[in-house]
Amino acid sequence: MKQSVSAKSDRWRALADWINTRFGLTNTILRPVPSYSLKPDYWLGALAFIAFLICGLTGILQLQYYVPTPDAAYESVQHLNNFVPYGNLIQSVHLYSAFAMIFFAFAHMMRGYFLSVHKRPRELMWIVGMLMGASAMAMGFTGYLLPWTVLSKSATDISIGFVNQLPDPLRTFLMFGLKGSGADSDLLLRFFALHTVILPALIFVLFALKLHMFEVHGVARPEDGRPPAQEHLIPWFLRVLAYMLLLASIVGSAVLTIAVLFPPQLPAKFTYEAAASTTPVPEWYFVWVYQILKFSVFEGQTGIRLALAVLAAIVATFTLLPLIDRSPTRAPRLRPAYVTVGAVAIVEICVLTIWGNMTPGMTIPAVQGVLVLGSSALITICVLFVWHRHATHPSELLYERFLTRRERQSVPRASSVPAATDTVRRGT
Amino acid sequence: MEREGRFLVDEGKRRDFKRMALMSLGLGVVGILPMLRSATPAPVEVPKWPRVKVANATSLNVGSSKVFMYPLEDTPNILVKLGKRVDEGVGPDGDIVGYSQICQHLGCFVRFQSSAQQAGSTGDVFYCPCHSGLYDVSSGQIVGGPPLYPLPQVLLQYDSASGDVFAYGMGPPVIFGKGPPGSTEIWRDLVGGKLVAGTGT
Repeated sequence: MKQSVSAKSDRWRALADWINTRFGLTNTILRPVPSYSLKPDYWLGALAFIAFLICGLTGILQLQYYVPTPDAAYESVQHLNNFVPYGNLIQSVHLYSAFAMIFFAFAHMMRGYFLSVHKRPRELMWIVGMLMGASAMAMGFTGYLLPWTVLSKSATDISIGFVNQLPDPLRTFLMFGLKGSGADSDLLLRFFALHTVILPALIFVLFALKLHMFEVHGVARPEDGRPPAQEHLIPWFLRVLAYMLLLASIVGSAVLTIAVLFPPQLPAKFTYEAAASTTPVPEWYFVWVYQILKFSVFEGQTGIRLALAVLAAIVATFTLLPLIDRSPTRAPRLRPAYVTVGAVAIVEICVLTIWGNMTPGMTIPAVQGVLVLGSSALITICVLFVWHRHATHPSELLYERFLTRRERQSVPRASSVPAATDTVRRGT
Repeated sequence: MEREGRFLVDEGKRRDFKRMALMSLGLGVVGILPMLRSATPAPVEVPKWPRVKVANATSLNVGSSKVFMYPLEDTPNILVKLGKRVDEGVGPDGDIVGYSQICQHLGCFVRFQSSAQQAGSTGDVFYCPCHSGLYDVSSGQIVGGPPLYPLPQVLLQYDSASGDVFAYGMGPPVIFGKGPPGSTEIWRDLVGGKLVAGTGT
C-alpha cells in the first residue's frame, strides 16, 4: 500500500520533471519581483490585460455567430442573444470585461501619474502605455457600432460627423479611412476589421514591448520617504504566477457576477426612422468628451475644429508627460502642483460624465460650463491645499493608505531620522 | 588576420556595405511612397442623376412623412406632405417636399415635426434629436440650433396621370459627409456608394 502511493507520487514527479525539462518553468525568463509589490494596485495594468484576454475569449465565441453586414448584423446578435446556449452571458461578459479593461487602464494610468512612474528610465513605458490606453478606447469605440443598434450607429455617425468638419486633406483622408466609399457596409466592415484584427494585434505588440521594458526596469518603487530597505525578491514561478491567477480569478468572477446580475438589453435595430427619434449618447467612458463637445463655444465649424484641437492637446500633453515633466522628484508630497492637476483632471472627468448623462443632446452655455468646471476645480484645489497643509507626515497622504499598518509604523518621521543620520555622517 | 580572438575588419568593405544597405533602404522607401495613394479615395467617374419613383401622391396623408433613399442606397431623404402650398412643392396640392434626412451639423437623422405635435412651436420643422437642430420645411433653411448649412432639397417631379412622385436630382449644398461641408459641388452626392435603381435623366 505504502509503496504504491510512493510510486504514484514518483510518477507525478517524473511528469513534472519532464515538463520542467522542456519548458524550463522553474527558471522562467521573467525576473523576480520585490515582495512589497504583491498588492493589487501594483498590478492594475495586469488586471486591464486580464480583462482584455477575457474580452478576447468571449469575442472569439461571438465571432462564430456574428455577421458583419448592415442587413444581418443586428439579427445575428439577436440570434446569439436569444437562441445560442449562454449566448446572452457571453455578450454580457464581453461588455463588462471591456468596461473593466478601460476602468483598470485608467486607474493604472492615474496611479502611475501620482507616483511619477513615468520618470527616467521609464519614459517610453508611459508613452507605450498611453498608446495601449488609446487602443483600448478605440476597441470600445469600434465595438460599440458592431451590433448596429439605433444608439450605437447614431453615436458613431456623430463621431464621424466631427471628423467631417476638419480641414480638407485631413478630412478626406480620415473619412476614407473610417467610412471608405461612405456606404454603410464599408463603415461596418472597417470597424469590424479594426475591432477584431488590427487593434487586438496592435495591443499585443504594444504589450510585448511594454512587458519587455518592465522586465528591464522592474517594478517602479514608490518614493514615499521610506529608506530603500533590502528588497526581498520573489520568483515568478510559482508565487507571482499564483498571485496573477488569483487576481485573474477575482476579476473574472467579479465580471461574471455583474454580467449575470445586470445583463445588458439590446436596444432597437438601426433604421433611419428610429434614428430620427433617438438622442444618441456614447458609452460612459466617452461621455466626458461628449460633454465637452456640447459646450456652446464649440459650435460652428471653427468651434468644432477648436474643440478637437483642445482635446488633441490634452491627450498629447498626457502622452508626452515624461518629456514635459523631467525633474527627478518622484514623491507625491514634493509635487503638489502635479498632484493637484491629476486630482482636478479626475474630478472634472467624473463631473463631465455625470453631467453629460444628465443632459443628453443639450447644448451647454459657455457660462454654465465655466461655472461648473471652475467651481469643481476650485473645490478640489481647496481640499488638496488643506490636506497638504495638515498632512506633513507621509503616512497621512493618500498613497500610504495602500500600505499595511506595520509598514506605516516603520516609516521614519521626517523630522527626526534624517537629522540623526546627518550627525552620524558628520561623525565619520 | 586575427588579434586576441577577434577578426580584424576590412573597413573599406564595411563602409561599402553600409552605403549599399542605406541606398537600398532609401530606394525601397521612395519606391513604396506612391502606394500611399491607395489610402486616399480613387478618382471616380461621376454618374448621372437617376430618376426614381419615391411615392404615390394618393398614399401620402397631410403631416405624414416617408423616408426614401436617393441618390445612393445609403443616403436617406425625408418626404413630407405639408398640407399647404409652397414654392418648391409638387403634387396635386403643390405641398409635397423632399429633403436630405442627414443633418448638416454632425450627420444625425432629422424627423418631421408638425406644429400640432409640439405645443408652443412656431411652425412645421425638421428636427434633429442629437443637438436640436431645426430646419424650415418649405426651404430647408436653418431656423434654430447648431447646424451650419441648410438641408439639401430633393428635386421632385409629379406625374399627374399616374399620381406618382419622382426624384430626379438634388439641390445644393452637398449631402452631409459627401464632400467639404456646405460645398456646392453636388456631383459629390453621386459618388462613393451604390446609386439607387432608376432610369437616367
